[in-house]
Amino acid sequence: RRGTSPRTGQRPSQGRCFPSMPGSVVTVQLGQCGNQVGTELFSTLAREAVACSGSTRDEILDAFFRTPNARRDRAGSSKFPDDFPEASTPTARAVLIDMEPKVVQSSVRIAKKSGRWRFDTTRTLAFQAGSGNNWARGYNTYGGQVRETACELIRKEVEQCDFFGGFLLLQSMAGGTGAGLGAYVAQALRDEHPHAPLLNHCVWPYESGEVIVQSYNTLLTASALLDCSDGVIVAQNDSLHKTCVKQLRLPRPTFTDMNSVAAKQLAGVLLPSANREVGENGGLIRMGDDKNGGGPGMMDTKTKNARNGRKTHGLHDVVTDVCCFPAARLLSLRQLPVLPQKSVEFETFTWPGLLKRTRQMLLSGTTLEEGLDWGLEPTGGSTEKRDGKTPGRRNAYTKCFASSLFLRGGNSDLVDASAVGDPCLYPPWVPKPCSVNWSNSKFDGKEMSVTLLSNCQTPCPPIGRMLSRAYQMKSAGAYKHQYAEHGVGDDEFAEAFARVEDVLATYRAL
Amino acid sequence: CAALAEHADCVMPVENQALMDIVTSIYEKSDVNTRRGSALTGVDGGVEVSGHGGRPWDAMNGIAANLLLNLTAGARFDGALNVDINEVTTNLVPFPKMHFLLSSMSPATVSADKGKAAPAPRTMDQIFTEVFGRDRQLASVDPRRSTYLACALMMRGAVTVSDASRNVDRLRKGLRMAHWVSDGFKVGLCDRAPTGTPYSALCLANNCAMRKPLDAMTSRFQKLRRRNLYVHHYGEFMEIDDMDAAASTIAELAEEYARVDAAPPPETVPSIRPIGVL
Repeated sequence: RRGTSPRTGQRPSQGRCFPSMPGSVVTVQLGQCGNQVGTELFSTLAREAVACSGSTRDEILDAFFRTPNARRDRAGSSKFPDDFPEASTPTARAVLIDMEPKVVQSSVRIAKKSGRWRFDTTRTLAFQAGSGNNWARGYNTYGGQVRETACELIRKEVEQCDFFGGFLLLQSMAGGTGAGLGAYVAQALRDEHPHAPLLNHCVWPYESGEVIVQSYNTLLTASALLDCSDGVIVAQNDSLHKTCVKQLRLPRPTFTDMNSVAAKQLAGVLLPSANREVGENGGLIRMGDDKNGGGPGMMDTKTKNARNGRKTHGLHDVVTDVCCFPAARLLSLRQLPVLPQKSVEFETFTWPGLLKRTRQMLLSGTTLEEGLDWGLEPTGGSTEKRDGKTPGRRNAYTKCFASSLFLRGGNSDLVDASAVGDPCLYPPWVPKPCSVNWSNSKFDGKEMSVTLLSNCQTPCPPIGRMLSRAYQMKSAGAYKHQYAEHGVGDDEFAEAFARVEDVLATYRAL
Repeated sequence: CAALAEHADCVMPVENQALMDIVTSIYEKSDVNTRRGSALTGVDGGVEVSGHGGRPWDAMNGIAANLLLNLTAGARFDGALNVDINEVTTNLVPFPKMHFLLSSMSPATVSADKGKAAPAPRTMDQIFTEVFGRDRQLASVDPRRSTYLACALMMRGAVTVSDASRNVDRLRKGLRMAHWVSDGFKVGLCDRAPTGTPYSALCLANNCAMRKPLDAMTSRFQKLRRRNLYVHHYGEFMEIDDMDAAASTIAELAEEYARVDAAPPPETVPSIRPIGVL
């Protein structure tokens, strides 16, 4: 019967099998940005855990925290105490790494201050000198020094998991530690744990510049990660900034504000949810039909069955659903609604309205709810030329390989997701391009919320701009000596350029 | 200077003349009730001179001390975007020999003399504008007339990343940047402001205007060397050839700066095109 047999996911290139269970996620926070984002992420997860009850709360805590004094599971009662006395404060399943000590110390302090969760101080690794924004120093010089200790810390954390579900790496792409050492650690984890899913959340720097050598660092990080990671989520500082200004109405956003937006987007994907069978157009399944969905339909027994045979989504499912193709692993996150806390109770939303806006955000290539171009429509199917005329404007929409939708709130299991599951948005050769996941628990206090993780062309323009700046800098020979001093020379640069150009071409050919 | 050009990673020269100009301008703008002869102190709680006959170098040294404090603040205190000296060296030195940085600060001093009103408060945007102006540079040059190879802004106090980006976007238009460094700003944010002021900015720039002090140094050297004045004193302890070698190192460095300043952007930039896809 459908919906009850476990689904085995396969990595396209290697045919490994991994059972579909949620599992615990071990987070590795690298560099200043990674540690700051990680602190926000765990604060968000802890807050959601407290807001939920019963088995959902257990799932969240199990996946991301470990509690030393959890009571034995009794029928109907939560594994974790309602209040968290000092001895059993949930400890984040995280390893904190930075090449200078201040940020790690302040992260530990912030966690402790919250009283609801903490970082384990034995899972931190901090040096003194810093990487100096030099990717080569982070990758070659510190990488070798740090490998054994870092892998040891991570292995200890993995061993604490009853069922290990994968790695989440948080880092920036512009700095030295997060970018350079982060890329090294990602490759080391791939070597030591070849079967574990590896998801990277990377912060893309401001286009106006935060670090002068950011083009080099971003190029080298992208090249290294696209090789070894299962999925690279690109979170652009410019988009997060605009979200804070336009939607949260914060005139002068700080990094904390932006990190909290990024953390909520990530949490929207990682929190427990159940996968749902969808018809071919992403809509609900009609009774009696096998694979072919009709148009939008009413809830029926088949859907009820799909819902009862629930499969809880884990990190492995997250990456296999969207990354169907080894050369295409760039992911983007969109979430709505995003609004100031005090406006939440004054706004009303409907699922169809939210999904329509999500669809338009995807087509416009933005991650903002505002300024959507409602005129953009995908061309139907695979025919690109009609009437012998070039489509022109119609082809200006952002194309997508695959996507995963996460619906959180009441009745989310009954929602018709054909607005986003529409086959016109995806290439015809992807079998199930849109995966729909739902959870009846509210997220962030909102009655309904939608998070979309998509493998689409949204990161392509910033990557193109980064490449042209990197070429310019390279042709002028600027900063060459800084990178050559730590073992990254012309050959390594050429390889990085080639790999990123390849990936960009793959996306542009969509 | 030649030895530093060879061996140092990064040099921040501070000219006495520039310090003198800054101190004088602050002194002139201050309250009329200042006691005659008392010196401005650069650091709150630093050396205070009561009565007349103050020490004339205190104020100037205070500015130089502030430079060092602001430079290391990112390493000493927490901040949203930490910057330490390693990052300064990596970001501001695109070519190994060209590592002479032009510094400027706003506010240059952080406290007032006893009995005098505090320096005029500035808005955040004003300190950004001042820091790129000619008056606050710690070398007697005008950076706006030459090309910037790299620029770092280290902010202290209640400055958010949006304030920094907004001001950088606003001020970038008035600056001449090298063609290969269109996003050529390094930003550092430190939470702790200096005493007595809500925020401060330190700008470290690798600017081709640094060739002027180097040229001036070379010409003053040549005036003495041409007539072999005082050379015998040095000849006792070193080879005269070394002196000449040092002079030529500095002259070459100044020429290098001039060349980069005048270099036009290239017509084409080589790039890699992928051959086949999928």
